[in-house]
Amino acid sequence: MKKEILDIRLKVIIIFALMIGLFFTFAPFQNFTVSMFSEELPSLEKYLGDNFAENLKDWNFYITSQWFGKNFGQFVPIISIILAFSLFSREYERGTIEFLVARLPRRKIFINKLLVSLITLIIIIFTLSILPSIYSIITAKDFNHSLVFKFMVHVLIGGFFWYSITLLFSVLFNTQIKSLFTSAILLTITTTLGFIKPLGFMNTYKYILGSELFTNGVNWIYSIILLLIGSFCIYFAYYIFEKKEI
Amino acid sequence: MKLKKSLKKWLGGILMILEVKDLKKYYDDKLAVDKVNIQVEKSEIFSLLGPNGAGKTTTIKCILGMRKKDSGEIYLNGTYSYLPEKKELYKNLTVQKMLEITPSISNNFSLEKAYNFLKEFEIPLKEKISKLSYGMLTQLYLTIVLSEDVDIYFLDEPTEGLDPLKRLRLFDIIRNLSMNGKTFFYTSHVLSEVEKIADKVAIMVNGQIALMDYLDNIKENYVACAVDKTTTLNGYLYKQTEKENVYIIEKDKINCNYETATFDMIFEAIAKNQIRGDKK
Repeated sequence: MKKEILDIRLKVIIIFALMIGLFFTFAPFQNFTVSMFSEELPSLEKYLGDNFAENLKDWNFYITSQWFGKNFGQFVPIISIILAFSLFSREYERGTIEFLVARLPRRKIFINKLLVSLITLIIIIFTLSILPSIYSIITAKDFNHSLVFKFMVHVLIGGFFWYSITLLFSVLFNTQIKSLFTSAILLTITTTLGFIKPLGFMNTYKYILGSELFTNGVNWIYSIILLLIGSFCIYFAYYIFEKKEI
Repeated sequence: MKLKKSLKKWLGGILMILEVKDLKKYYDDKLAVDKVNIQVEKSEIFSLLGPNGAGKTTTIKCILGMRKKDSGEIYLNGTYSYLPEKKELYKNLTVQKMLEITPSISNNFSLEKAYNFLKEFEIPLKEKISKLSYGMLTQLYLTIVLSEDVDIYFLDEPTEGLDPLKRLRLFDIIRNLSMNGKTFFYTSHVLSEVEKIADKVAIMVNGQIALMDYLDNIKENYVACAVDKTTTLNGYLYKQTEKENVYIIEKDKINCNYETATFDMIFEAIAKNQIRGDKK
């Protein structure tokens, strides 16, 4: 487990640094954003909907739409993919898997890697999710903190879904590049196909960004489906790893 | 008689640390390991000798469960450590960090022993593994493996990249550990090495064990016999000259003049015949 923590440490530092940096590119600039949208409103109205600039004046709407619905939300699948793509494929690619398999039962190797990376993912998503709350408290802004938990459900489950799929590819493929590209291509395909109305359910971004959270609340059915698919992927990854020839 | 037989079987069971029975392994349609039978007793230095691609590494990997066998039985009675053919460790770590994480991966690892070996091999602790030469990497891997307190050590080509002095030192360490009850399963394609270290040898060619016995027995039992070209002997054809054929053959199977055969000659004859497929 010590090795897994060492492996993932650098990624975590970079992700936190980038995401916190990203947060501060918009959080202190509500007035500027509102004025920008107000000026450009006529041309943007058909894309953004009525009253968008007005809504942005509301801190709750501004911070959640800009953080969960845009900046952080877009990165959730990418963060998940980054944390999972090399877990096993790097060990195969570099030949170090023999060092592990000769010393630990495969079940333990799998559980160690799974626990460290999944807990890391949860900590990252949780911490980044509560950034709006922390910022609002520090800057004494009036903020409905319960919104954070609703968005958190979506980003956590969306992140878990893409993490599980990438973990499966990481077990399946013997090179990091294949595992990374397959996950990224799948994300692109499902997102693109999701723009076709009958296939809208395939676009996980719609769910992760919480587009309908303000109107419909947490989408529990979609959440459960993603959780089930993710859990199946993890179980399947374990099954393959147990049987895989090293 | 029955009692004697059961006693023998019981003793065999106690002494035997590894037994492989009729092991078969295919890669698609290619038979990589063909009905291999191996017995290794406790505190023995067993050497699996064969040319590149003979199936030595596949045999070890099947024994250790890294590759799935297609048929056969494997009994491994004890803890083990493994030095693979490709010596790969975590390149992003320093030597010291590598040793520090090993106890979390191996229950049998002694950090103290490892530091002593490292001192002896003169490997700098602060050096990144990516900057070590292949020889130093082999020594670092050997340091980890030999610092594990296990019953049997599987060493796949352990001397690759080592200078002659380090090789001799490694043989000393292996001998000492063997005298203290540790068993070694050693693969190599270097005959001189095997002759120096092994108690028992199996010669593997084309996925098959062509010969397995104690090294001393092999050297004692096989001789070289030269006969004219019209005569065929029930042995391994070693070489052909203009007038005669030289066979390596079991001493008690001949009634002609013979000369002592070196282990090199025996190995070469067996390997050549096995590769050609014309078994004795």
